[in-house]
Amino acid sequence: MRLPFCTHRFRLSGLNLERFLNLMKQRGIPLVKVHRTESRTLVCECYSADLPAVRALTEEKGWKLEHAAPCGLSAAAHKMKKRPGIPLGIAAMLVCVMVCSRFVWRVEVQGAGAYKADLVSFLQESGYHAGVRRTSVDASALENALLRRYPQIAWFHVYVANVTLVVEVSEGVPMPELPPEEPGDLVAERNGIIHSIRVYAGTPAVKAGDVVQKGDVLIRGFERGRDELQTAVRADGVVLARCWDSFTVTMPLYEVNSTETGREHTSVRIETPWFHWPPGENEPAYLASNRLIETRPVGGVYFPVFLQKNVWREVRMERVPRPEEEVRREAGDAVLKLLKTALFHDEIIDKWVDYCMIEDDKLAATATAERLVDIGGF
Amino acid sequence: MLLDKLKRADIPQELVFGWPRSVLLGDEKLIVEQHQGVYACTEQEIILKTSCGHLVITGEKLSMSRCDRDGLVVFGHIEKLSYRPKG
Repeated sequence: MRLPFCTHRFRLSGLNLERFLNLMKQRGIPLVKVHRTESRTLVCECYSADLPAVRALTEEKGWKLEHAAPCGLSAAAHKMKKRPGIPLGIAAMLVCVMVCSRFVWRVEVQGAGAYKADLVSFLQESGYHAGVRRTSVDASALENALLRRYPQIAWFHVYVANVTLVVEVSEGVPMPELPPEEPGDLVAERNGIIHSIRVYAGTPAVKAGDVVQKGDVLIRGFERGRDELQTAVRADGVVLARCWDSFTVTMPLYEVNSTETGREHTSVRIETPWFHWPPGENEPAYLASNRLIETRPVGGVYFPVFLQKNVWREVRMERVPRPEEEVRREAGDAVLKLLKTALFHDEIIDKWVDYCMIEDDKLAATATAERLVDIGGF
Repeated sequence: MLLDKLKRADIPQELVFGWPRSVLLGDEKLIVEQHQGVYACTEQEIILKTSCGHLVITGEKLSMSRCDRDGLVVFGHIEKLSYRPKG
């Protein structure tokens, strides 16, 4: 039987080697490779199963067949004969893989959110854990059991993927709270000047240009019919009003500079992960100081002892006035940035910045933005 | 006359007349079917017996592969294919 990749290579020498090729063709013995190396030498490769026939032919016709050596899988099989442990190990490994693939070795829960820990413990208790046979996993029964146990979950999808038991969980989306249907007025949620009013239900109580305060009725919750009878309804509509939002940033008109006086105090101590010597910081009694810490290893990486040198330099703090224009510019930029950040999703109609000096040498910048807001609410 | 009938019957002519069928892939591989045997074989020249005469394959580092009853494959740098009339 000719097995693919199971071949033998041999060297054939003699006269009229083309006749050998033709005889092989006539007898139906295929050659995988033929290469003429010298005038009287051919290097051929045939299927291992055909080698006895080839050998018989060459002996019959007087050609010399030598250096027959197995190639491909035949060579591997030849080597394996000397090391029987390797094929046995491969066979044992394949058997192990086949046996192990019949079991579930991992349980994966996806999308369970807050229920994950409880769900995992429930699966353990129900016998769905690593080591259970794949054939014993009844996915639909488990899905039903899970649905009964977790009614708030929308659905479960249980399946076995290779050696993993996957439980996909989809939590239900809670129903949004619908607005109550009782009759009522639409009132202003903030102060503003009415820009436009569109009424869907009810009777308008304000008109464009009116100034309203928080709590004022914008649309009354009744409608008058043809028969002059009033019917209570739930007021609905869009009431756009010009509203103003302000943000303030305060900045000092001075800056504090520190100047070293020239006095300094130095202390050295030994640091280890377990103790310090000498104990305590040994800090000088300066009113204000800059501290410079320099740590050097004493014993290298494998000996965690460090020498820590602390230098305190006394400094004098003094207030230095800043140019007002510079502070004003900085405060204006800062407050406008704050305004844009706070109202980035709204369309701003107009904006401006006011400045004022306040106590303790500080400058306050107030940015005000005007925008159109639907101020209706219940 | 016979050729016309064959054409009408959609029968491959090479099967009926025993013509060799050659497929040359680039200049590295030549598949020859329905040859009648190897006449000569060296690294520079392979000559196959066919019903049309001798098919001469010239090139460098030529070798044969998959030699069986149906055909063979020639590998190497193929430079020239030609027919030499039967002598």
